[in-house]
Amino acid sequence: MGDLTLTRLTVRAPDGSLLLEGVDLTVRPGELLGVVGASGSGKSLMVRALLGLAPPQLQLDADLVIPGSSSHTDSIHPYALAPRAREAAFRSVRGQVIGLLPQDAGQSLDPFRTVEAQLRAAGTGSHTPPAAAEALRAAGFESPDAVKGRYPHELSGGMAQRAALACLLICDPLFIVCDEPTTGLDADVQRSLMGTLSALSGSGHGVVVVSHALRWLHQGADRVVVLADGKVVERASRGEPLVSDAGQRLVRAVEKTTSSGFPGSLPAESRP
Amino acid sequence: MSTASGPWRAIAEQALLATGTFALAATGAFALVVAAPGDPVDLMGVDEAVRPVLEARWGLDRSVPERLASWLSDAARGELGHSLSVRPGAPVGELLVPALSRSAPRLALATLFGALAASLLAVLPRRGVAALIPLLSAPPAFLAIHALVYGLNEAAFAGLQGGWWGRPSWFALPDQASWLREALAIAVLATASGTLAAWREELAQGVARWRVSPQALARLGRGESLGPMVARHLLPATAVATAAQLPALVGGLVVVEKLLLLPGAGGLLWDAALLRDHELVLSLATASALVVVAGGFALRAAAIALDPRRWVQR
Amino acid sequence: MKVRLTPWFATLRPLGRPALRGVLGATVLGLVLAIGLLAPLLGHPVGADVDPSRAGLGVGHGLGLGFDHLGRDVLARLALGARAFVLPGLLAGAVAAAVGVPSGLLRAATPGRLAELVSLPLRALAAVPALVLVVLVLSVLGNSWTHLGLATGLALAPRLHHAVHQRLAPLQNDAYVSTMRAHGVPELELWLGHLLLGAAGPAVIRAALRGLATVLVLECTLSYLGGFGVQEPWPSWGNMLVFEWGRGWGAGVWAPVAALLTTLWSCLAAAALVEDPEHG
Repeated sequence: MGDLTLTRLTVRAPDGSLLLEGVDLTVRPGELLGVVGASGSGKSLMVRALLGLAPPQLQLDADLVIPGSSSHTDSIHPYALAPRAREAAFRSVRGQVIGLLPQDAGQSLDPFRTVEAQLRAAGTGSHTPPAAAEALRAAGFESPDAVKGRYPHELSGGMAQRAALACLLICDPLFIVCDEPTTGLDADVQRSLMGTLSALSGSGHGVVVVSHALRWLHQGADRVVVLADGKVVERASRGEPLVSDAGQRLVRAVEKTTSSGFPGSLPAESRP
Repeated sequence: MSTASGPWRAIAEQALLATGTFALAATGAFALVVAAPGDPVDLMGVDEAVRPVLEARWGLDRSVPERLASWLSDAARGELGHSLSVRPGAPVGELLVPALSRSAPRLALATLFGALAASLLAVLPRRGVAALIPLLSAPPAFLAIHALVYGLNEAAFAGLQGGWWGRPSWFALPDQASWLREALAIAVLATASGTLAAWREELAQGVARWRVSPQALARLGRGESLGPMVARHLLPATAVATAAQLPALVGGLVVVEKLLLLPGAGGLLWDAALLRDHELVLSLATASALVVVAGGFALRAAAIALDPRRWVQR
Repeated sequence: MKVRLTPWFATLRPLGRPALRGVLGATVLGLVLAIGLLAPLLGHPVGADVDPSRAGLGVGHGLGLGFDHLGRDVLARLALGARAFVLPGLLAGAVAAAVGVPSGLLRAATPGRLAELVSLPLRALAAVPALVLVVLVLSVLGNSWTHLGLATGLALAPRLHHAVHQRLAPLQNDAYVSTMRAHGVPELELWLGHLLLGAAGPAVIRAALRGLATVLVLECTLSYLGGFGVQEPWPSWGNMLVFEWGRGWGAGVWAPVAALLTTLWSCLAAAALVEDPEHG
């Protein structure tokens, strides 16, 4: 099983302005890759391009290699294909090789069906109840029975995010792309969700996390990529300090805010 | 609200609201007729000496709340008074029931056709056929019928003159039943005066929203198609949008039945109104409100039952 | 009668930016309103203008659009026909606003389930189809333009009520409202000045413009069916169509064209005020 490799990703808006320029990204199975950057730096767009889910009006140019997985043997180069074949190629790997957990977890579940019904119909469909329970456990639910009969509107934000993650895990993709998975969640839930994602990378998944939780990513991710104005400005390994201007600005922003809330993330005197 | 009671509590609330709405609409219509200058005795132009006798017989000498109460209790028993001028002396029920039974299938088919067409067109991209819908749906019903009837007549006449065909079977005389006129009525009812366009537009806005929702992205991100998701959202939305179109459809019956010479409640309403047959007009107006309220309630109840967000809460 | 004219404007979206469409729509609509109000100043002798010698003369004769089959000037009658819906239309707008706006405000300001009770009379009005209500009122109270305007106004009131309520209800919990309360803005000023004018204003104007189109369609339908609405020899765009149709091309075409264009333009002007998230 190979790496997920994105090279020279360039995205143009319909008016010709550059949204992303020459972005390179490699995701290895078994590692957790953090992507950080200010709002509007193109993070979400970049990870959506990994699945061919960028808004259709944008003009994309890239070289993307999606490796084969146990269920899908050949690697593909979707952006080298004509649009129609490209969409078909992406569709064949979504869910099975690479899956997306979008922003706004509460809205990403089907409001009309229970968690279990959605799980069993996720991806190619027809999963067994034990598989559903297993996916819920892998997504961090300690007692799947308590949650599977519920409708999405009965779940808290963190539970909804985990349920959505379970729907993805039951499809068993090799790579998992999470777009701002912790937005709107409180600090404890953020931390435990990040723990779950970290455990998933430990079990062999390649996990990409786009997040504002910079401090956690800095400690928990194997590598961190900093995006600014549509370009990768810095790559850091676990524990390495961020040195670029954009990286420094992000670090200062985290230090100023009181909402981050990770223990030890703020100097004591700045707490209210 | 709890899962144990299912959607019934939310539906019962809707039923209560619908009952109140209908009761108020019926009362309002009755009050309008009672408050109007001139009563049936005036309209009959009888001798003043006979007036007290007639007033006593019809209960016109009682107070308005009393008359309302007796009208409501009579109506509940199916006694709707007597026609004054359309068929003098005949019980209103005798005129009302056949007229309603003729209009009901027409209305039901138009509603079904409109709901199906609107939801199918809502799924199509605006660029395709759906872009033409606002134009096709734009003319008022009377203009649409005018254009269709005269267009068909001209075409049939041209064909006859040119010897292309004999008298077409659908070229029915006004007093004959004609499937073509029925079909025209249903089509015009479901489309004209912007009905179909409004119907579609409401659903299309939903479809556009659902297609870019986080839920859609999550499904795409798992390699699923969006069809089943859109269908699940579309079903309750169509029920609610259809409930909103019911008044337009019921009102449209008057125009299509009158212009296409179809027997039914709409045409009867017009004739009764022209002849100032107040008892009959009042019953027909109340019946139209009942259809709108009851149909709307059924559709909204279905939408509630389909949407667990409306009734599941632990 | 089907009075949902909302999406006509969708067809004309490609015509240009909302501001341009709004100005165009408002101009044409203002013109029609002015014609409807000022037409009597022409001093056209209705009923005494029959002249068989010029019957059926086409475009270019008389005031420009020729004569009908009785030799009456088509353009003059079109102008007078605008009166048939302009006067009741203005009255209907006033009635709908007088009923719909305060009740919408009241409902938005009423807490909890009580709000449903407040809206019950408006629901009851909405349960009676507009055409049925108009026919009922005209039959019972008599056929006049004031009754037509009154009935249509009542039929339109629920839409205005909903427009106001729908716009204001979500603002209840909005930060901007609590900020104003915190700044000590008096409750009455908050509701009338800021919420009603600022938030619901466009919705009200939009409903009023669509109301005019509705009255036009209703009046044309009534006078086309005959018996209610404007009666011969007085012209309306509805009875002009039915009276002239099949008596030679020309006269019968202008009335429906005028009716279609006017409804279209009033919807266009209304559309310019739509904050439309889907179409930008």
